[in-house]
Amino acid sequence: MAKRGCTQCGNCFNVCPVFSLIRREEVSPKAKHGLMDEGWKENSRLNWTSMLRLANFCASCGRCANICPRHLSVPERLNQTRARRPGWQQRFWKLWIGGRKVFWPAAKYAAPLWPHSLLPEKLGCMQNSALAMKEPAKTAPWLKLADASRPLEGLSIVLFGGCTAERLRPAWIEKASALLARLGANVLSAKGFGCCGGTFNHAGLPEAASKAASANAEVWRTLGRPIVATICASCLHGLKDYPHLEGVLSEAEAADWTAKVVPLSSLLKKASFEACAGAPATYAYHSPCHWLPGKDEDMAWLKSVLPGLRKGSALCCGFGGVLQIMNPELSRDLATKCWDGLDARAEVLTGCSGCTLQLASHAPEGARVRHWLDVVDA
Amino acid sequence: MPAIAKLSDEDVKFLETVFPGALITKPEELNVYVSDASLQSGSPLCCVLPERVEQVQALFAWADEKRIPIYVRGRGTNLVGDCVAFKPGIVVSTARMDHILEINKGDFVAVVEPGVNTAQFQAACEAQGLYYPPDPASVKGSSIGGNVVTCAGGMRAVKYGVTRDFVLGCEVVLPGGDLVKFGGRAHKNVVGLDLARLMVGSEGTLGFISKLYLKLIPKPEASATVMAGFGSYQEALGAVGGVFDKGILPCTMEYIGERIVKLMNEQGNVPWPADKVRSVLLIQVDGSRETLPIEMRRLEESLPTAVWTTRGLGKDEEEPLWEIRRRINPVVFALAPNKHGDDAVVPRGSLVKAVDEFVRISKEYNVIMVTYGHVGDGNIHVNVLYNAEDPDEKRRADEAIHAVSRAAVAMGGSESGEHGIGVVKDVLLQISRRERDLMRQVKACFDPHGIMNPGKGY
Ligand SMILES: Cc1cc2nc3c(=O)[nH]c(=O)nc-3n(C[C@H](O)[C@H](O)[C@H](O)COP(=O)(O)OP(=O)(O)OC[C@H]3O[C@@H](n4cnc5c(N)ncnc54)[C@H](O)[C@@H]3O)c2cc1C
Ligand code: SF4
Ligand code: SF4
Repeated sequence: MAKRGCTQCGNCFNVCPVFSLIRREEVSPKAKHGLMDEGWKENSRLNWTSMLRLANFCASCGRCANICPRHLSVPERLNQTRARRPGWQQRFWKLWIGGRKVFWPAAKYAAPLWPHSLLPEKLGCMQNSALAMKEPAKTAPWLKLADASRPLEGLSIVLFGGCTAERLRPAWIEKASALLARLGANVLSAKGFGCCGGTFNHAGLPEAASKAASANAEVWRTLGRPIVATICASCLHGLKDYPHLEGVLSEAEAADWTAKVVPLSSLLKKASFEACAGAPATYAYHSPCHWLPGKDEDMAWLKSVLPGLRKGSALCCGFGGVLQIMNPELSRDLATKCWDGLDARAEVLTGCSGCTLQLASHAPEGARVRHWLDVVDA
Repeated sequence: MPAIAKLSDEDVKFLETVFPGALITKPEELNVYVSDASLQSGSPLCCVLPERVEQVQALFAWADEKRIPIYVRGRGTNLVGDCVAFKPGIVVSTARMDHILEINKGDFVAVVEPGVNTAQFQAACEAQGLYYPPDPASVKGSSIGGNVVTCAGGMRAVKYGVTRDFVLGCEVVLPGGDLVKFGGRAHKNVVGLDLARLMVGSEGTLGFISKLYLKLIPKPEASATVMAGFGSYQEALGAVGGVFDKGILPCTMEYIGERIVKLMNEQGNVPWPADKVRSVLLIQVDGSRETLPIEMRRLEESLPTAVWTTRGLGKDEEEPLWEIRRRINPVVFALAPNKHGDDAVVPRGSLVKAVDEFVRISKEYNVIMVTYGHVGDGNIHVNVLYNAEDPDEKRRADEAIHAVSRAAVAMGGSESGEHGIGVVKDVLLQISRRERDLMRQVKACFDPHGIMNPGKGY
């Protein structure tokens, strides 16, 4: 059934990090729906560029769709709107190249999927700059496996690292693979996996998203449809969306995919872990928006092994989709507000590549944020 | 009042000075301020977002002088067009006047700015063991200021009353720019006319509320719910009186009519036996942990005609029962794509007679009608479902919903218990011209040039 329109009930205001930050109705999810409804009309009285600029006040956190009685999703609508914009794809590429380095790994993966005529010339330089995003100094891990059991014995698992980790934090992938192997899993080669495609969707590049998804699905098929473990909440979200993308998975595969794409934490919880000497006095957790409220499996697992874990501010870090490119000031302000609600003396853990990089690059003096994999010892 | 079609450069300059960075004139940014949950549209000249009362005072002095209409806006969730600028004018949004200034445990008083969201305010009170009971179904979306100015009611009204019963005082900016204070933090106050409560339900026609003094009560310790199924709506509504006769004052008492129960039965996943139950009552009591079990026993005894009952003790057990109540809104759209909602009230003793009459009206106009709502205080929600693309069906739906209002008034009830008049209803259905004129004279004392929300309400 087609989605029914916005009733202006206002339920989405409180949950929207952008409305909470700016406190003006024109940036509320409701306003963005109204704007896009109006903008999609033939002969709309509104200016397309100004409309899209305003609609870009969105961190793609998905909270509005979760609370909306009509299940209306701003990110989904925004993706469609961007895709409809004439000349959008070329424009976006330009922005992407000139934009934040963090996106360059994804851009690199997008390039081969792209019609050559649309690609800008200077693509090559992207990779180097992306690699220049150095990892922070290593500190010793403090969450250790507490037994020698092999609960994953007999399971074939492939790790989906995601393009950000692969290009900028390969250590996460190495560690996740080592952990799976230690717990007895038969870890398959992830060769051929690329970007999950989520970023392309946010960018209004649905063809690129579908191509990326199809390529990943093909790797999975060739491997014999194993369990796919992810280390990033945003990748998980992107992968879980495949059954909704046209032509990526058959009906039978879709059910199998949904059951087999899992967060790494859901596998680790089969073993025992314990904090050891070197653990910080306080540690907090930032829940990525791509885990909807109450559904964060990483947090559930971490809480079970670290009873002292404090909850973060429950605010959005501002990384969101392509917000850094579309609206870098808003992205920064959201990150700052997110840090306001975090205990900067605590070691902040999180479970999304984007959140980790975003929070790290806006961290107050002396504060530290890490992917939880950084503190786990393989 | 002659309408102005456009702000002059000079006007814009003035507004920019008073509202630096908080004046909205671009059509894309103004788009959301064009309508409200009535889904009607107007033509605002601009929107301003004050943070301080002095800004509102400066605006009101200037707008009164220039005779420019003012439309105050909380979160635009009213259902009757109260925020819509049908005449070009200035929208004043309270979105940035959203601070809880004080929650005082000793005085049982809260002092808030008008733009505070209702649900967030309630949560802040409950975190301190205090309770602000008014609970319109729109709590997640609405502002406290909007609740006050529409006198919002909700399910708990049967025991605790409506927003009016929790307003101790308010500060108001009048057209012309004066700041006045009506009432205050005292729980009892009989000095002069009760102008604070005159502001309640005034639909934005008198002045701008810049601060509110609200009454709080201790948060009840525990609650419990009984859900009862009946063989007909007559038996369900007939049982309502029996509950009160037993000396029980429930905090909520909701009714689900036959058409909706039938739909729910068809869709499955209902807790009651679908072959027996055709209408449902959902009754909640609250109080202390010690007395609640006694109250529950008496409540169950007071429902001898029920063919089925179940109970939930405490939030976790009650939640699945209330989840069924929340299903009503999505469920009814299975009947037709469009809906007219009405919030008529009848005296509690006339509930069966009223629904009999609504059923007759639905037959007379050949429309799909459902009934449910807060029967504890006689507030029955009547929805007419129709397809707006069929002009004849739409006309019949319009006429049927008016007939419902007339029937409620004829029974000594009210055409609106919650949503107000705005531009969608006619006060003269319920009150005389003389009474309406008195109201207009009162408005003229506050707003001699008629700049506040012109054409709304009365
Ligand atoms: C899904 C849904 C469910 C609803 N359920 C209920 C319900 O159960 N019970 C009920 O009573 N209503 C209900 N309503 C109606 C609506 O939510 C209420 O009328 C609510 O009180 C409006 O609050 P608001 O902040 O959105 O006010 P708005 O719609 O913004 O404004 C309402 C009126 O108040 C005026 N106003 C707002 N703030 C001020 C101020 N500071 N000073 C002066 N005037 C001001 C406006 O000018 C306007 O006339 C419902 C609406 C929806 C959409
Ligand atoms: S996705 Fe998040 S940031 Fe974007 S409109 Fe919805 S709630 Fe706001
Ligand atoms: S929650 Fe959904 S229906 Fe309600 S205002 Fe927001 S977008 Fe509209």
